[in-house]
Amino acid sequence: MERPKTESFTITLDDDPIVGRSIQAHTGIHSLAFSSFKDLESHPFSHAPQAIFVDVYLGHDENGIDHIPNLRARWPYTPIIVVTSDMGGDSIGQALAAGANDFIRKPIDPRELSARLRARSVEMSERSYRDCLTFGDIEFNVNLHELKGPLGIKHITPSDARLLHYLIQSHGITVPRADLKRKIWGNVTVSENALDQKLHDLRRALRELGSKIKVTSIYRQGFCLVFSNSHEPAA
Amino acid sequence: MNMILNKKVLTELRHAAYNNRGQDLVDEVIQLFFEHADQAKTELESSIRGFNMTKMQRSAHKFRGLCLNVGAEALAALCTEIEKCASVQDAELRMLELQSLLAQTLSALGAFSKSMQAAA
Repeated sequence: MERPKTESFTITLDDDPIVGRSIQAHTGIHSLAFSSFKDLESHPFSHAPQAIFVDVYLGHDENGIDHIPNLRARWPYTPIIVVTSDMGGDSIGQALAAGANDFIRKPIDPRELSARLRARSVEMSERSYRDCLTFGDIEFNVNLHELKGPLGIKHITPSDARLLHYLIQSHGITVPRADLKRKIWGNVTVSENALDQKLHDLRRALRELGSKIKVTSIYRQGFCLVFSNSHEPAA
Repeated sequence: MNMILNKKVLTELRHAAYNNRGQDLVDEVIQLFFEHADQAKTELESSIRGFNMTKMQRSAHKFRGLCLNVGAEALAALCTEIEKCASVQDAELRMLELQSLLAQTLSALGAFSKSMQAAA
């Protein structure tokens, strides 16, 4: 099995070797086939797959549905499609509840496969777009707490993420200190210093990413994000 | 009435494959069935002999999936019956039928493969 570099690929987690082969033939996209989650987990991936197809029953004692939360956490914007020959029972409902996007039946109907894959890919791509905010020279993924700047990518803490999210949503408008505290910690009482520490962490993260965005303090008013490349705050 | 081999499944597989690789795909799928069906049958027999109901249901389910890939409807239906058997004894009785049905399926697949190759 060859490791993909930058080309598109799908993952098939199924102990039936025909399934991965059929999916590859019908989609025209290389499919990496794994018969157990352990094999999949130990495989090095350089980027996210285009879709993941998961069988419900793997071998004699493994259930594909149990692995869906792990797959979802690892690849939040990749469609996960359950492949099943069992149309009754609870397995489809359980799979969807676990984080799968859709299901297809065995034997695989090529038209059904294409239609569902296309629909779910569009849906996940839109979700990814919605979660991604841009301000000045940074891109911020609200869901992944991932901050992308000119020098790379950084993951920030959930509370730093809430702070940055609110400041970006404010579009350069000054936000009072009390509002920021409420946004980060809700009704929990924290010291004045706690917010200063968060602001310090956020400024450092932006600096390390080579961003020209500044978290500016306005005396007795609050804080705002300013993209220092221009005179006006970036939209 | 379930067919020994529903040729529509493999014919559709052939037509729908990307990049006009349909015949290769059908050949490969049939080949994989030949390679894995015997192993699936052995696993099923071993679970029945071991009186392991969970393993028996899983093996029958897996076998059924293999059968559906090639349109082996009668064999798939029998696997469903075995999967739902309330006892190992019931399953054991159906295994005799499965052996005969598997032989008929393999023969039908072989004939289908030859006819496809001849037509190509």
